[in-house]
Amino acid sequence: MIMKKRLTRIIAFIISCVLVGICVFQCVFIINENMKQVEDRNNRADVMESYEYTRDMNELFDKLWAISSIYLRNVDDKSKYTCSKEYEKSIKQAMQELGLMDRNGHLVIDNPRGFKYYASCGESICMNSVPEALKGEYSIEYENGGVSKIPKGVNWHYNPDMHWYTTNYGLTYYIMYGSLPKQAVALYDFDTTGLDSYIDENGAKIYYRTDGSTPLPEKTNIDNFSYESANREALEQFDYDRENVHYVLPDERNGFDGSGITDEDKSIENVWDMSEVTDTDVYMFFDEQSREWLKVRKDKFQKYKENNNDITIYIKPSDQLIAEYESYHSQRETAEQDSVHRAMPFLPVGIAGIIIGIVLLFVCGYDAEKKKFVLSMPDRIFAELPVIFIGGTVAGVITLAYGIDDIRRSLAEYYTDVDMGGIITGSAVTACYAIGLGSLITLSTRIKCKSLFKTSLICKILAFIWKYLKKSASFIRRILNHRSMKHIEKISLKKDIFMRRFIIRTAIAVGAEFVMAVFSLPYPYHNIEGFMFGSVIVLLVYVYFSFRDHAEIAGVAKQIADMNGGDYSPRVVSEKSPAYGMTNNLNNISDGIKSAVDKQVQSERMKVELVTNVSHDLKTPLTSIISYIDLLSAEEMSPAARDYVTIISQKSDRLKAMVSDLFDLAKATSHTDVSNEEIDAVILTQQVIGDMADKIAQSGMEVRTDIKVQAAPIMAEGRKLYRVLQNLIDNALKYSMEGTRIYVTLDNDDTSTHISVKNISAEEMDFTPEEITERFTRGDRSRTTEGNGLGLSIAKSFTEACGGQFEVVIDGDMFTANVILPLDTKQN
Amino acid sequence: MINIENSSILVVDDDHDIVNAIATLLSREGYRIYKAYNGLEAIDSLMQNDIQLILIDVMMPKLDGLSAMMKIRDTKNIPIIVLSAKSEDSDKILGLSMGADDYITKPYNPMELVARVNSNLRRYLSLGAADSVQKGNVVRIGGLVLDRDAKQLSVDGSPVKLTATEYKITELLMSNAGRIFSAEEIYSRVWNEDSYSIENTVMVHIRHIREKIEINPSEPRYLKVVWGIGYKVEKQ
Repeated sequence: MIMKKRLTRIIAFIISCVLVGICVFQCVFIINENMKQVEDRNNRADVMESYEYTRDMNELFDKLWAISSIYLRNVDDKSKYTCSKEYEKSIKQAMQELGLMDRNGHLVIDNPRGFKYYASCGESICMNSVPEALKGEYSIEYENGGVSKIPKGVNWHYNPDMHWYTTNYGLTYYIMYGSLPKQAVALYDFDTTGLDSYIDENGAKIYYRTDGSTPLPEKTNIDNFSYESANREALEQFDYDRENVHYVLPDERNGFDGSGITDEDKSIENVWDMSEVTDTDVYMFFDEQSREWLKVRKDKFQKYKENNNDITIYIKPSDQLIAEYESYHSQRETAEQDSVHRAMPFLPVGIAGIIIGIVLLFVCGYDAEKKKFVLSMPDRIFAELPVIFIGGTVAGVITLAYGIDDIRRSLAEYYTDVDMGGIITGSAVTACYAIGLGSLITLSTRIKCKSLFKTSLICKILAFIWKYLKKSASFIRRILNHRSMKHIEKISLKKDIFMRRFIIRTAIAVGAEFVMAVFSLPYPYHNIEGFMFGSVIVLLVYVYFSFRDHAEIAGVAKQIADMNGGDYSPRVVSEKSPAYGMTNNLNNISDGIKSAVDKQVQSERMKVELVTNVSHDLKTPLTSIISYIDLLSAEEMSPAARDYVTIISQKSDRLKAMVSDLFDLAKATSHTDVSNEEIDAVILTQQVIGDMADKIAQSGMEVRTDIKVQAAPIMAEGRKLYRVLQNLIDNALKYSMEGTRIYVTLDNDDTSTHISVKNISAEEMDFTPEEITERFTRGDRSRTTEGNGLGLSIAKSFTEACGGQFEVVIDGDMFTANVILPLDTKQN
Repeated sequence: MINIENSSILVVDDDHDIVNAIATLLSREGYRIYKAYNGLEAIDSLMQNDIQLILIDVMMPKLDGLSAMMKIRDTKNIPIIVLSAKSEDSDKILGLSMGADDYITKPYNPMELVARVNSNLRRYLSLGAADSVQKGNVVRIGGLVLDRDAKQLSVDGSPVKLTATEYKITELLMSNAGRIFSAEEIYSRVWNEDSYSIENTVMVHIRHIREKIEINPSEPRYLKVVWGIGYKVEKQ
């Protein structure tokens, strides 16, 4: 595992962002540089692919289309008009309006760039070059009413909305969106002199007649033509139409309810809009001559959409332009390759940054101390947020990729010497990367910790809902349980008297509150205080009864605490008390414990008594034995008999010592008789050594005493401790190898004094320290030497009776007995 | 005045064998022996005979030794030695406080028994004579008599040979009977030197004194070791 530490990961994150940032910045700068070059060219006027070139080519195409469609369609190959005089006049007027014909009827085609062109409609042709020479990849080729390819070197967009239609009453309408002065023209095959006219929304002048031979305009432009006035005129005419219903437009003059007009013969009807009463399929015209209204059905005026299939247009730029463009194009390719090469070195940098980011995704969240993945602070915010962040950064990067040129261009106006657009785009992309990587890291950490869902807002909401549901479910279940308990297990509820009392108490309190609320709250103006007062009383009573129950439980708790403290006396409570059952049970338990403890004390006492009795019973015959042996030894006897008597005497003495030791040991282990006093272990040790000086001298062993302190005040029973040390030294004298020394040392530490007796055993010690301190175990299993095996047992028991610790350490042949006694700190 | 050799001793024990053994043992020493097997018999025997010392067991049928001893003490001043299997300190203290002059635990050492009997009798019988001697610089504790002028110590009337140091220690302890002396204190007062690295000197001397003045040095009557504190001579 790499990057175990958080700080390392943060540094790696920053490095990743910086590397990616460097790459992004360089790429953006290079892209922007190229874009700037392209734009610079677009702004030049003299080359292909520039805005002006495109505009000029579009304009020429529009002009040629208009000429072909309007003029060439109506002339023969000798420029003679084939249509009526009225139509010819209309064509000339329209062409002049479009700026394509002078006053003399000659075509005017403005062609500053020297495009070679060819346009034809049917047989009629208008060209400055032959069509065969005009085809090519840079040419516009418009055939059969459409273009089949997009020419190179121009930002040309073919507009398919250019179309025209004819009507059966002599109108021809051309729509020509684009660069021409007018967007539409209307041609008439009849004399329009003196006719009403209006300009429609496309700028075409529409003539109409009110005799029904031309329709009223369908499309109206509010600015140029008022429908309202015509409507009004028509309506006024209706007023005088005696064959019709008397229609009235409700207004100031007529009155809004028609009351301004009185005519007994006619029924009067208010009309807001003439279309409500006129047939919508009918145009209405007012004939000034006959003073009559004419109704013409709309379907009498047919409209035919015409196609442009007979039109062919070719436009080709001049060879000079093409040559210039081609040379530029090859230069451009080289420049683009250059820029790719310049960007190349930075790609590995960016890739390295991204790789670091990916590695981070794998290692993130690791805690070196806990040796597992853990969530840190940012990993605890809602998981939706990083997801939104990632979506946002992706959207942001895409937007930036599309908008990079706009940003550059708009900022280039203000910052001419710096590529501010590049800086901003680069910063934004880098920021997006950082935010996106950070979001991915936190998501990755969460996935590793298996808490992606847990940390999400959805989960929180679901958990909240779930908790609430569970709560209510358990509440419902509890209520049901209560009910079922009530119905099915009445007895078991009765046993839990506290619960029953609680339920009854609560039910009464709630009931009282409810009753009071029912009686007082409907009249809030004089009983709200009463309700409050009553509530307080109920609360107090409730609390009082609750406390009474609590006191009962507290009594039980106290009894338990007393039992813990050793007080097993039974308690008396009234039978009506809810704690009666509990107290009784506790009393029984107390009795049990008490009798058990008493029994144990008694058995301990009996043990001591038993040992005492046994030792007494042993002592009496022993007394006789010893007495008579003594008497016997005074008698005359053979030397062999004297030897036997001597042996019996020795053995009876040993038996005597053993009985005495046994008795002492039994007493010590029962801890019945301890009378500790303040003594000094140093003095005691010296006394024991001094007391045993003769015995030591007799044994031929050397005892080295090393008392390292001046005093060792302890609380102990001197006689017992004397026995301990005596036994230990006795043992050492008995079992040491000949010629070795016995060491008796005494030293204090902070809390205790250590007395140790060390000797080298003559025999191999094939026993454990535990075994040797057990009763009747002796160093030599064969029990050949004298001793009863109680020495160390007594030492251990007596030391423990004095509040000390006794331990035996066996290290090879070295036998060490340690007596550790707590120092009596009070004494000093 | 009755001679020690002519003294009568009452032996009381419910165990006939023990009574017989003791009787044999003591009659060898020249004492006249009366036997009793319970407390009542002992009192009867005491009424009928002239007895100078009683050896009495504690646990006996009909009347136990301690009760019998209390009764005897109402009228008699003779030495009473309790002979009991009860070996605990509390038993000894109880027996001694109820009027016993000595306390011997069973199983006893026959030699010790004889020694103690002799000692008690001697003290009892020589009491009057000793009184006349008791003047000037004499300290008397139980059977111990220290004559400062003669610089001599006698136990139950018989003189004991002590070295100069032993005598000084004995004098110090006996003159301050009941007081506990630490080894250092004894050393500095006896040797008149500062107690520096005294090792076991004092202890060894004490042991030697005990061997000379005590019947059973392991269970001293007079010179006692207070373990972990020091030494003292018991005040009688």
